[in-house]
Amino acid sequence: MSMVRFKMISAYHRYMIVTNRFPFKKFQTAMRKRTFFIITLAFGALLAACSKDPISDLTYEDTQVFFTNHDKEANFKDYKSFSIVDSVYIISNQGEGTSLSETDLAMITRIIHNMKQMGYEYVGPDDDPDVGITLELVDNRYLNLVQIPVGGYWGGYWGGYGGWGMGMPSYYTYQQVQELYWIVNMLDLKNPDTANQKLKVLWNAQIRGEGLYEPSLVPPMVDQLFKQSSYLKIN
Amino acid sequence: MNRHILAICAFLFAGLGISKAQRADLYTLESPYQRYTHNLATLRWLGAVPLGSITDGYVDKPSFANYSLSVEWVFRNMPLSAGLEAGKYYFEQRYPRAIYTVGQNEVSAVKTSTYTAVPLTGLIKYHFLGTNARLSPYVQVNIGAHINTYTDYFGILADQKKQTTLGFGGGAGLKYFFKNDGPVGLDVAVRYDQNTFKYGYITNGVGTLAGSVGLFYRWW
Repeated sequence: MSMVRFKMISAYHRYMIVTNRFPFKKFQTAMRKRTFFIITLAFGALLAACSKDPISDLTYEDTQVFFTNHDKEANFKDYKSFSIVDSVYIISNQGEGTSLSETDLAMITRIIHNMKQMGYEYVGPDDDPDVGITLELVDNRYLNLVQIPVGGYWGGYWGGYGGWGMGMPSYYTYQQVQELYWIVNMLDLKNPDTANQKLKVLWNAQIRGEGLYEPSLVPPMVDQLFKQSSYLKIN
Repeated sequence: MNRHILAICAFLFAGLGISKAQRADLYTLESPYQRYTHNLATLRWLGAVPLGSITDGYVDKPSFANYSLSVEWVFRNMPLSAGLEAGKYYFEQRYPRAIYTVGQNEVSAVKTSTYTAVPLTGLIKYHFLGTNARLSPYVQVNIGAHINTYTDYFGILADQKKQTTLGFGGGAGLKYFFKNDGPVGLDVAVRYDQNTFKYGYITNGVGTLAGSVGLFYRWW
């Protein structure tokens, strides 16, 4: 037995071996059982780790989640007219500002369409509207410094490299995360809180998920917000 | 001369007698699987249905993505074995778009409800016809821990809870050895598992009723 191996065992075991009293057979059996346990637990962990992504098959539309909430004391029949912002306000950790892209315009137009369907009259911002609608897009981007990739498999596209992994230097460390969602607010312009200089939010809506900036998906997205907010209907 | 022939004959007869006795011993000797405490590993695939409060709006569909691996020590001179079992139950159900109330909000989403349990338990098994019968019915009890993962997806947004709880269960099964005294065979069983996990829709633990088919291997 090499000295290196010898140093790894305790003084008691060394004494037992030197004096020929060490029960090698028992030791072997114990080691075999221990190995066996480790294999079992490893296999259990392997079973636990093999899980599929249950939402990988969702379409863009199915990934979208629509949140709405409203002032429970408000009687929407008291409000007759509305106005809406002429552009989308971008809230971003990269900077803020307004935007009027094709998608933004589609959102505004579709909100106007739905509000009219609910019985409200569309008026200009200077025509004393009862409610005002704001539209915001939250677009935050973060650069997380993490080791990529998490797994080392590259897909096996090129033949001749079956079972090969990827050699990834440890300094390949970046990952971008984007948070993108829409916020729609309906403000009470009829009863402004002049003392505190605040406008009460009568209705709030958020759209989260994927495909939120696809112009073709805008109409069903906006329609869903109003469909689940039937209390807004005044006609 | 005659004395010599007689002595040789006596020796041959004696030898024949010993050899016969030895052969008889060989055939009446118990199998090593009866003489020694030995090891038994069983890999099972399970079809399972969830039971209890998990079926109240969360998941009530059966699942066929369940596995288990057990390792037992089969004791000599008694119809018992004891060991460890690790496995996995996975249940999933997709609901079409609907409106849910979450806090004060109305939330419209396609909901995907998933629940995973990884049972890590100790087991004791009683074999009605002994541990070496070619067709060996048994009952077993398990107790240990279940590692639970509850993930309720609203679209791509997840409400998740991970928790380890007490888990226990029992079952009855049948082992069939492909050969007498052989090491390999088929295992079929039904079992019930229960844990004390509570979160969201699950208010009173998760029960699972499962049927399993497996293969086992024993060695000593």
